[in-house]
Amino acid sequence: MKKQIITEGRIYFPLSETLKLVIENIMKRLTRALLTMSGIVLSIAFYTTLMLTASVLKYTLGAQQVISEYYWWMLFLAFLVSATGITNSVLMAVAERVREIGTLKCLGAMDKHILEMFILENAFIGAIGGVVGFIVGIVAAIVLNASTIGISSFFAIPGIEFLKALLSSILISTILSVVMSSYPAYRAAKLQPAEALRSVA
Amino acid sequence: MGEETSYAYTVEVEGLKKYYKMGNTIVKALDGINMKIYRGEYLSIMGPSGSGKTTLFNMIGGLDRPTAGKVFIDEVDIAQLDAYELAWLRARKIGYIFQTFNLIPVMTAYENVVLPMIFAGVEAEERRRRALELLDRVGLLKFKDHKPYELSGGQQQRVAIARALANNPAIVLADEPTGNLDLETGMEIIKLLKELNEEREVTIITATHDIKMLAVSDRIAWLRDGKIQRIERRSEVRFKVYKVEG
Repeated sequence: MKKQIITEGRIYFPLSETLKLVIENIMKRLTRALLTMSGIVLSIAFYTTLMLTASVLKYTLGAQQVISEYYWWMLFLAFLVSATGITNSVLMAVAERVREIGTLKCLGAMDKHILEMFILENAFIGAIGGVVGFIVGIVAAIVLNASTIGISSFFAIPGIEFLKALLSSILISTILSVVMSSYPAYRAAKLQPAEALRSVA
Repeated sequence: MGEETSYAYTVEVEGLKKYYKMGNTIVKALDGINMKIYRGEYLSIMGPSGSGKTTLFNMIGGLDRPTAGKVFIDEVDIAQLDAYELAWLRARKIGYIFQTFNLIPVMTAYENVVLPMIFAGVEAEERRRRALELLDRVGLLKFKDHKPYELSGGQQQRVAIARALANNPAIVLADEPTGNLDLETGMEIIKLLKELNEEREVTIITATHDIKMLAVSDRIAWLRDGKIQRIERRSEVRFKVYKVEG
Protein backbone atom coordinates (compact mmCIF):
# COMPACT_ATOMS: atom_id res chain seq x y z
CA MET A 1 0.00 0.00 0.00
CA LYS A 2 1.19 3.48 -0.81
CA LYS A 3 2.29 5.35 2.26
CA GLN A 4 0.44 8.62 2.79
CA ILE A 5 2.29 11.87 3.28
CA ILE A 6 -0.73 13.77 4.55
CA THR A 7 -1.18 13.10 8.23
CA GLU A 8 -3.45 15.98 9.19
CA GLY A 9 -4.99 19.20 7.95
CA ARG A 10 -5.55 20.37 4.44
CA ILE A 11 -4.40 22.97 1.95
CA TYR A 12 -6.56 25.87 1.05
CA PHE A 13 -6.47 29.56 0.38
CA PRO A 14 -9.76 31.29 1.17
CA LEU A 15 -11.10 33.85 -1.29
CA SER A 16 -10.99 36.56 1.37
CA GLU A 17 -7.21 36.12 1.68
CA THR A 18 -6.78 36.12 -2.09
CA LEU A 19 -8.78 39.36 -2.23
CA LYS A 20 -6.60 40.95 0.43
CA LEU A 21 -3.45 39.98 -1.42
CA VAL A 22 -4.89 41.16 -4.74
CA ILE A 23 -5.83 44.58 -3.40
CA GLU A 24 -2.43 45.02 -1.76
CA ASN A 25 -0.78 44.02 -5.02
CA ILE A 26 -2.76 46.60 -6.98
CA MET A 27 -2.03 49.34 -4.45
CA LYS A 28 1.65 48.51 -4.20
CA ARG A 29 2.17 48.23 -7.94
CA LEU A 30 -0.11 51.07 -8.89
CA THR A 31 1.93 52.17 -11.90
CA ARG A 32 1.70 48.73 -13.44
CA ALA A 33 -2.05 48.57 -12.72
CA LEU A 34 -2.64 52.03 -14.20
CA LEU A 35 -0.67 51.05 -17.29
CA THR A 36 -2.83 47.97 -17.79
CA MET A 37 -5.88 50.08 -17.11
CA SER A 38 -5.07 52.89 -19.55
CA GLY A 39 -5.93 50.88 -22.65
CA ILE A 40 -9.21 49.79 -21.11
CA VAL A 41 -10.07 53.34 -20.05
CA LEU A 42 -9.52 54.69 -23.56
CA SER A 43 -11.56 52.05 -25.35
CA ILE A 44 -14.39 52.24 -22.82
CA ALA A 45 -14.35 56.06 -23.05
CA PHE A 46 -14.76 55.77 -26.79
CA TYR A 47 -17.58 53.28 -26.32
CA THR A 48 -19.37 55.53 -23.81
CA THR A 49 -19.01 58.59 -26.03
CA LEU A 50 -20.56 56.74 -28.94
CA MET A 51 -23.42 55.40 -26.83
CA LEU A 52 -24.25 58.74 -25.27
CA THR A 53 -24.06 60.63 -28.54
CA ALA A 54 -26.43 58.08 -29.99
CA SER A 55 -28.76 58.56 -27.01
CA VAL A 56 -28.73 62.33 -27.32
CA LEU A 57 -29.60 62.15 -30.98
CA LYS A 58 -32.28 59.60 -30.29
CA TYR A 59 -33.99 61.63 -27.57
CA THR A 60 -33.62 65.08 -29.11
CA LEU A 61 -34.04 64.34 -32.81
CA GLY A 62 -35.78 60.99 -32.61
CA ALA A 63 -33.08 59.43 -34.78
CA GLN A 64 -32.92 55.64 -34.72
CA GLN A 65 -29.79 54.53 -36.60
CA VAL A 66 -27.28 57.25 -35.79
CA ILE A 67 -24.00 55.39 -35.44
CA SER A 68 -22.59 54.55 -38.81
CA GLU A 69 -20.88 51.29 -39.57
CA TYR A 70 -17.62 53.16 -39.73
CA TYR A 71 -17.78 53.97 -36.01
CA TRP A 72 -18.59 50.41 -35.09
CA TRP A 73 -15.39 49.34 -36.84
CA MET A 74 -13.46 52.02 -35.01
CA LEU A 75 -14.89 50.76 -31.75
CA PHE A 76 -14.01 47.19 -32.63
CA LEU A 77 -10.42 48.25 -33.37
CA ALA A 78 -10.23 50.19 -30.11
CA PHE A 79 -11.25 47.09 -28.18
CA LEU A 80 -8.80 44.97 -30.15
CA VAL A 81 -5.89 47.29 -29.34
CA SER A 82 -6.94 47.46 -25.72
CA ALA A 83 -7.23 43.67 -25.54
CA THR A 84 -3.73 42.98 -26.84
CA GLY A 85 -2.46 45.70 -24.53
CA ILE A 86 -3.92 43.90 -21.53
CA THR A 87 -2.31 40.58 -22.44
CA ASN A 88 1.02 42.25 -22.99
CA SER A 89 0.84 44.16 -19.75
CA VAL A 90 -0.17 41.15 -17.67
CA LEU A 91 2.62 39.07 -19.25
CA MET A 92 5.03 41.74 -18.03
CA ALA A 93 3.45 41.73 -14.58
CA VAL A 94 3.87 37.95 -14.38
CA ALA A 95 7.50 38.19 -15.47
CA GLU A 96 8.16 40.75 -12.74
CA ARG A 97 6.66 38.50 -10.13
CA VAL A 98 8.06 35.13 -11.15
CA ARG A 99 10.12 34.77 -7.98
CA GLU A 100 7.16 35.75 -5.83
CA ILE A 101 5.05 33.09 -7.53
CA GLY A 102 7.79 30.53 -6.85
CA THR A 103 7.84 31.54 -3.20
CA LEU A 104 4.07 31.26 -2.89
CA LYS A 105 4.29 27.75 -4.30
CA CYS A 106 6.93 26.85 -1.72
CA LEU A 107 4.55 28.02 1.00
CA GLY A 108 1.83 25.70 -0.25
CA ALA A 109 0.05 27.60 -3.03
CA MET A 110 -1.42 25.40 -5.73
CA ASP A 111 -1.76 26.29 -9.41
CA LYS A 112 -5.38 27.27 -8.96
CA HIS A 113 -4.53 29.74 -6.19
CA ILE A 114 -2.05 31.57 -8.43
CA LEU A 115 -4.54 31.52 -11.30
CA GLU A 116 -7.27 32.90 -9.04
CA MET A 117 -4.98 35.64 -7.81
CA PHE A 118 -4.09 36.96 -11.26
CA ILE A 119 -7.62 36.61 -12.67
CA LEU A 120 -9.13 38.45 -9.70
CA GLU A 121 -6.51 41.15 -9.88
CA ASN A 122 -7.32 41.80 -13.51
CA ALA A 123 -11.06 41.61 -12.97
CA PHE A 124 -10.59 44.47 -10.49
CA ILE A 125 -8.39 46.45 -12.83
CA GLY A 126 -10.93 45.86 -15.62
CA ALA A 127 -13.89 46.94 -13.52
CA ILE A 128 -12.18 50.09 -12.26
CA GLY A 129 -11.01 50.81 -15.80
CA GLY A 130 -14.63 50.49 -16.91
CA VAL A 131 -15.83 53.08 -14.38
CA VAL A 132 -13.02 55.53 -15.15
CA GLY A 133 -13.52 55.01 -18.88
CA PHE A 134 -17.22 55.73 -18.44
CA ILE A 135 -16.53 59.03 -16.71
CA VAL A 136 -13.93 60.05 -19.30
CA GLY A 137 -16.43 59.04 -21.99
CA ILE A 138 -19.17 61.29 -20.61
CA VAL A 139 -16.82 64.24 -20.44
CA ALA A 140 -15.60 63.55 -23.96
CA ALA A 141 -19.15 63.24 -25.28
CA ILE A 142 -20.16 66.56 -23.75
CA VAL A 143 -17.05 68.38 -24.94
CA LEU A 144 -17.21 66.93 -28.45
CA ASN A 145 -20.90 67.62 -28.91
CA ALA A 146 -21.19 70.92 -27.05
CA SER A 147 -20.83 73.03 -30.17
CA THR A 148 -23.12 70.96 -32.37
CA ILE A 149 -25.94 69.61 -30.23
CA GLY A 150 -25.44 71.73 -27.12
CA ILE A 151 -24.85 70.67 -23.56
CA SER A 152 -28.47 71.05 -22.54
CA SER A 153 -29.52 68.20 -24.82
CA PHE A 154 -27.65 65.80 -22.56
CA PHE A 155 -30.25 66.50 -19.90
CA ALA A 156 -32.82 65.02 -22.25
CA ILE A 157 -31.27 61.57 -21.81
CA PRO A 158 -33.16 59.58 -19.20
CA GLY A 159 -31.09 58.35 -16.23
CA ILE A 160 -31.71 54.77 -17.19
CA GLU A 161 -29.63 55.28 -20.36
CA PHE A 162 -26.67 56.43 -18.26
CA LEU A 163 -27.08 53.47 -15.99
CA LYS A 164 -27.21 51.13 -18.97
CA ALA A 165 -24.05 52.69 -20.40
CA LEU A 166 -22.28 52.45 -17.04
CA LEU A 167 -23.20 48.82 -16.43
CA SER A 168 -22.32 47.75 -19.97
CA SER A 169 -18.99 49.60 -19.68
CA ILE A 170 -18.11 47.73 -16.50
CA LEU A 171 -19.29 44.43 -17.91
CA ILE A 172 -17.36 44.77 -21.16
CA SER A 173 -14.15 45.98 -19.49
CA THR A 174 -14.23 43.26 -16.82
CA ILE A 175 -14.87 40.46 -19.29
CA LEU A 176 -12.26 41.84 -21.68
CA SER A 177 -9.72 42.07 -18.88
CA VAL A 178 -10.40 38.61 -17.48
CA VAL A 179 -10.40 36.92 -20.89
CA MET A 180 -7.22 38.64 -22.06
CA SER A 181 -5.34 38.01 -18.83
CA SER A 182 -6.28 34.35 -18.61
CA TYR A 183 -3.40 33.20 -20.79
CA PRO A 184 -0.67 35.03 -18.81
CA ALA A 185 -2.37 33.97 -15.57
CA TYR A 186 -2.37 30.35 -16.72
CA ARG A 187 1.33 30.60 -17.54
CA ALA A 188 2.01 32.03 -14.09
CA ALA A 189 0.07 29.21 -12.44
CA LYS A 190 1.97 26.53 -14.35
CA LEU A 191 5.40 27.85 -13.39
CA GLN A 192 7.61 25.21 -11.79
CA PRO A 193 8.78 26.50 -8.40
CA ALA A 194 12.42 25.52 -8.99
CA GLU A 195 12.44 27.35 -12.28
CA ALA A 196 10.63 30.34 -10.83
CA LEU A 197 13.09 30.68 -7.97
CA ARG A 198 16.04 30.61 -10.36
CA SER A 199 14.79 33.78 -12.00
CA VAL A 200 16.80 36.89 -11.23
CA ALA A 201 13.95 39.34 -11.88
CA MET B 1 19.62 12.88 16.72
CA GLY B 2 18.25 9.55 15.61
CA GLU B 3 15.54 9.15 18.22
CA GLU B 4 13.76 5.90 17.69
CA THR B 5 10.49 7.06 16.23
CA SER B 6 9.05 4.79 13.60
CA TYR B 7 11.92 5.78 11.31
CA ALA B 8 15.28 7.32 12.03
CA TYR B 9 15.73 8.99 8.66
CA THR B 10 13.59 11.90 7.63
CA VAL B 11 15.10 12.21 4.15
CA GLU B 12 16.47 9.42 2.00
CA VAL B 13 17.94 10.03 -1.42
CA GLU B 14 18.56 7.09 -3.75
CA GLY B 15 20.50 7.23 -7.02
CA LEU B 16 19.34 10.77 -7.67
CA LYS B 17 20.20 12.19 -11.08
CA LYS B 18 19.30 15.44 -12.74
CA TYR B 19 20.47 16.12 -16.27
CA TYR B 20 19.88 19.31 -18.17
CA LYS B 21 20.16 19.59 -21.92
CA MET B 22 22.10 22.66 -22.95
CA GLY B 23 22.14 22.70 -26.71
CA ASN B 24 23.89 19.51 -27.75
CA THR B 25 25.58 18.79 -24.46
CA ILE B 26 24.03 17.18 -21.42
CA VAL B 27 24.90 18.83 -18.13
CA LYS B 28 24.86 16.43 -15.22
CA ALA B 29 23.82 18.69 -12.36
CA LEU B 30 23.36 15.68 -10.10
CA ASP B 31 24.94 12.38 -10.99
CA GLY B 32 23.88 9.61 -8.66
CA ILE B 33 23.39 11.00 -5.17
CA ASN B 34 22.78 8.64 -2.25
CA MET B 35 22.31 9.97 1.24
CA LYS B 36 20.29 9.50 4.39
CA ILE B 37 19.50 12.34 6.69
CA TYR B 38 18.67 11.68 10.33
CA ARG B 39 15.66 13.16 12.03
CA GLY B 40 16.71 16.28 13.91
CA GLU B 41 20.20 16.58 12.52
CA TYR B 42 21.88 19.67 11.12
CA LEU B 43 23.36 18.71 7.79
CA SER B 44 25.29 20.99 5.48
CA ILE B 45 25.74 20.28 1.83
CA MET B 46 29.01 21.98 0.99
CA GLY B 47 30.37 22.60 -2.43
CA PRO B 48 31.57 25.30 -4.80
CA SER B 49 29.05 27.09 -7.01
CA GLY B 50 27.95 24.90 -9.86
CA SER B 51 28.44 21.74 -7.85
CA GLY B 52 24.71 21.00 -7.82
CA LYS B 53 23.81 22.23 -4.33
CA THR B 54 20.76 24.19 -5.37
CA THR B 55 19.59 21.38 -7.66
CA LEU B 56 19.84 18.95 -4.75
CA PHE B 57 18.02 21.46 -2.53
CA ASN B 58 15.21 21.66 -5.09
CA MET B 59 14.95 17.88 -5.37
CA ILE B 60 14.77 17.29 -1.62
CA GLY B 61 12.26 20.11 -1.31
CA GLY B 62 9.94 18.72 -3.94
CA LEU B 63 10.42 21.79 -6.10
CA ASP B 64 11.76 19.98 -9.13
CA ARG B 65 11.53 16.51 -10.63
CA PRO B 66 14.61 14.30 -10.96
CA THR B 67 15.75 12.69 -14.21
CA ALA B 68 16.25 9.43 -12.31
CA GLY B 69 16.34 8.23 -8.73
CA LYS B 70 14.14 8.82 -5.75
CA VAL B 71 13.67 11.13 -2.81
CA PHE B 72 11.84 9.84 0.24
CA ILE B 73 10.49 12.20 2.88
CA ASP B 74 9.41 10.23 5.94
CA GLU B 75 9.45 7.11 3.79
CA VAL B 76 7.15 8.54 1.14
CA ASP B 77 8.47 8.70 -2.41
CA ILE B 78 7.70 12.31 -3.31
CA ALA B 79 7.64 11.58 -7.05
CA GLN B 80 4.38 9.70 -6.38
CA LEU B 81 2.61 12.69 -4.86
CA ASP B 82 -0.17 14.50 -6.70
CA ALA B 83 -0.40 18.30 -6.85
CA TYR B 84 -2.46 18.54 -3.66
CA GLU B 85 -0.16 16.27 -1.65
CA LEU B 86 2.87 18.15 -2.95
CA ALA B 87 1.35 21.47 -1.85
CA TRP B 88 0.66 19.94 1.55
CA LEU B 89 4.26 18.73 1.78
CA ARG B 90 5.61 22.18 0.92
CA ALA B 91 3.28 23.93 3.31
CA ARG B 92 3.54 21.70 6.35
CA LYS B 93 6.44 19.31 6.15
CA ILE B 94 9.16 21.57 4.78
CA GLY B 95 10.17 25.14 5.53
CA TYR B 96 12.26 26.94 2.93
CA ILE B 97 14.89 29.60 3.42
CA PHE B 98 16.57 31.27 0.46
CA GLN B 99 19.68 33.26 -0.22
CA THR B 100 17.57 36.17 -1.45
CA PHE B 101 15.07 35.92 1.46
CA ASN B 102 12.09 35.92 -0.94
CA LEU B 103 9.63 37.65 1.34
CA ILE B 104 6.40 38.75 -0.32
CA PRO B 105 7.13 42.45 -0.94
CA VAL B 106 3.56 43.74 -0.48
CA MET B 107 3.22 42.11 2.95
CA THR B 108 4.50 43.12 6.37
CA ALA B 109 6.85 40.91 8.37
CA TYR B 110 3.88 39.68 10.39
CA GLU B 111 1.80 38.92 7.29
CA ASN B 112 4.70 37.06 5.72
CA VAL B 113 4.92 34.77 8.74
CA VAL B 114 1.14 34.28 8.78
CA LEU B 115 0.90 33.39 5.08
CA PRO B 116 2.02 29.73 5.20
CA MET B 117 -0.39 29.16 8.10
CA ILE B 118 -3.25 30.43 5.96
CA PHE B 119 -2.36 27.86 3.31
CA ALA B 120 -2.25 25.19 6.00
CA GLY B 121 -5.69 26.15 7.30
CA VAL B 122 -4.58 27.22 10.79
CA GLU B 123 -7.26 29.08 12.77
CA ALA B 124 -6.94 32.88 12.84
CA GLU B 125 -6.31 33.14 16.57
CA GLU B 126 -3.69 30.40 16.51
CA ARG B 127 -2.05 32.04 13.48
CA ARG B 128 -1.72 35.27 15.39
CA ARG B 129 -0.32 33.62 18.48
CA ARG B 130 2.25 31.57 16.58
CA ALA B 131 3.34 34.43 14.31
CA LEU B 132 3.94 36.77 17.24
CA GLU B 133 5.76 34.06 19.18
CA LEU B 134 8.03 33.31 16.21
CA LEU B 135 8.74 36.97 15.49
CA ASP B 136 9.60 37.40 19.14
CA ARG B 137 11.88 34.35 19.00
CA VAL B 138 13.86 35.74 16.05
CA GLY B 139 14.00 39.13 17.80
CA LEU B 140 11.83 41.10 15.41
CA LEU B 141 8.61 41.63 17.32
CA LYS B 142 8.89 45.40 17.19
CA PHE B 143 9.43 45.25 13.41
CA LYS B 144 6.33 43.17 12.80
CA ASP B 145 4.52 45.86 10.83
CA HIS B 146 7.47 46.69 8.61
CA LYS B 147 7.49 45.81 4.96
CA PRO B 148 10.51 43.83 3.66
CA TYR B 149 12.12 46.87 2.00
CA GLU B 150 12.15 48.61 5.38
CA LEU B 151 14.25 45.82 6.90
CA SER B 152 17.97 45.03 6.62
CA GLY B 153 19.15 41.83 4.96
CA GLY B 154 19.71 40.11 8.28
CA GLN B 155 16.28 41.15 9.53
CA GLN B 156 14.64 39.93 6.32
CA GLN B 157 16.34 36.59 6.73
CA ARG B 158 15.06 36.38 10.31
CA VAL B 159 11.53 36.96 9.05
CA ALA B 160 12.13 34.25 6.44
CA ILE B 161 13.29 31.87 9.19
CA ALA B 162 10.17 32.64 11.25
CA ARG B 163 8.06 32.04 8.16
CA ALA B 164 9.82 28.74 7.43
CA LEU B 165 8.99 27.52 10.95
CA ALA B 166 5.39 28.73 10.99
CA ASN B 167 3.78 25.35 10.35
CA ASN B 168 6.19 23.43 12.60
CA PRO B 169 7.83 21.63 9.68
CA ALA B 170 9.87 18.46 10.13
CA ILE B 171 12.56 19.80 7.84
CA VAL B 172 13.96 23.25 7.17
CA LEU B 173 15.78 23.58 3.87
CA ALA B 174 18.10 26.55 3.56
CA ASP B 175 19.76 27.43 0.26
CA GLU B 176 22.78 29.66 0.90
CA PRO B 177 21.05 31.37 3.83
CA THR B 178 24.10 33.54 4.52
CA GLY B 179 25.01 34.19 0.88
CA ASN B 180 23.74 37.77 0.82
CA LEU B 181 24.80 38.71 4.34
CA ASP B 182 27.97 40.18 5.81
CA LEU B 183 30.19 38.09 8.04
CA GLU B 184 28.71 39.08 11.38
CA THR B 185 25.07 38.98 10.31
CA GLY B 186 25.75 35.64 8.64
CA MET B 187 27.15 34.29 11.88
CA GLU B 188 24.04 35.44 13.77
CA ILE B 189 21.78 33.70 11.29
CA ILE B 190 23.80 30.49 11.54
CA LYS B 191 23.62 30.67 15.34
CA LEU B 192 19.86 31.21 15.19
CA LEU B 193 19.40 28.24 12.88
CA LYS B 194 21.43 26.03 15.22
CA GLU B 195 19.45 27.16 18.27
CA LEU B 196 16.17 26.46 16.52
CA ASN B 197 17.50 23.09 15.39
CA GLU B 198 18.12 22.17 19.03
CA GLU B 199 15.03 23.80 20.57
CA ARG B 200 12.52 22.45 18.08
CA GLU B 201 14.30 19.27 17.03
CA VAL B 202 13.73 20.29 13.45
CA THR B 203 15.99 18.77 10.81
CA ILE B 204 18.00 21.48 9.11
CA ILE B 205 19.56 20.96 5.72
CA THR B 206 21.60 23.78 4.29
CA ALA B 207 23.22 24.05 0.88
CA THR B 208 26.15 26.39 1.30
CA HIS B 209 29.75 27.22 0.64
CA ASP B 210 30.00 29.26 3.81
CA ILE B 211 32.76 27.72 5.94
CA LYS B 212 31.18 29.30 9.05
CA MET B 213 28.45 26.70 8.70
CA LEU B 214 30.91 23.91 9.58
CA ALA B 215 30.95 24.93 13.22
CA VAL B 216 27.27 24.11 13.78
CA SER B 217 26.71 21.18 11.42
CA ASP B 218 26.35 17.66 12.76
CA ARG B 219 27.42 16.28 9.42
CA ILE B 220 28.77 17.74 6.22
CA ALA B 221 28.20 16.33 2.75
CA TRP B 222 30.85 17.47 0.31
CA LEU B 223 29.41 17.89 -3.16
CA ARG B 224 31.44 18.26 -6.31
CA ASP B 225 30.35 18.02 -9.94
CA GLY B 226 27.02 16.53 -9.01
CA LYS B 227 28.49 13.76 -6.87
CA ILE B 228 28.91 13.41 -3.15
CA GLN B 229 32.59 12.99 -2.43
CA ARG B 230 32.16 12.13 1.23
CA ILE B 231 29.88 12.68 4.19
CA GLU B 232 31.63 13.44 7.44
CA ARG B 233 30.79 14.23 11.01
CA ARG B 234 31.96 17.57 12.29
CA SER B 235 34.78 16.12 14.33
CA GLU B 236 36.26 14.48 11.26
CA VAL B 237 36.08 17.64 9.21
CA ARG B 238 38.24 19.88 11.38
CA PHE B 239 41.11 17.52 10.97
CA LYS B 240 40.90 17.39 7.21
CA VAL B 241 40.42 21.10 6.73
CA TYR B 242 43.42 21.68 8.94
CA LYS B 243 45.46 19.24 6.90
CA VAL B 244 44.47 20.83 3.62
CA GLU B 245 45.37 24.25 4.86
CA GLY B 246 48.66 23.07 6.32
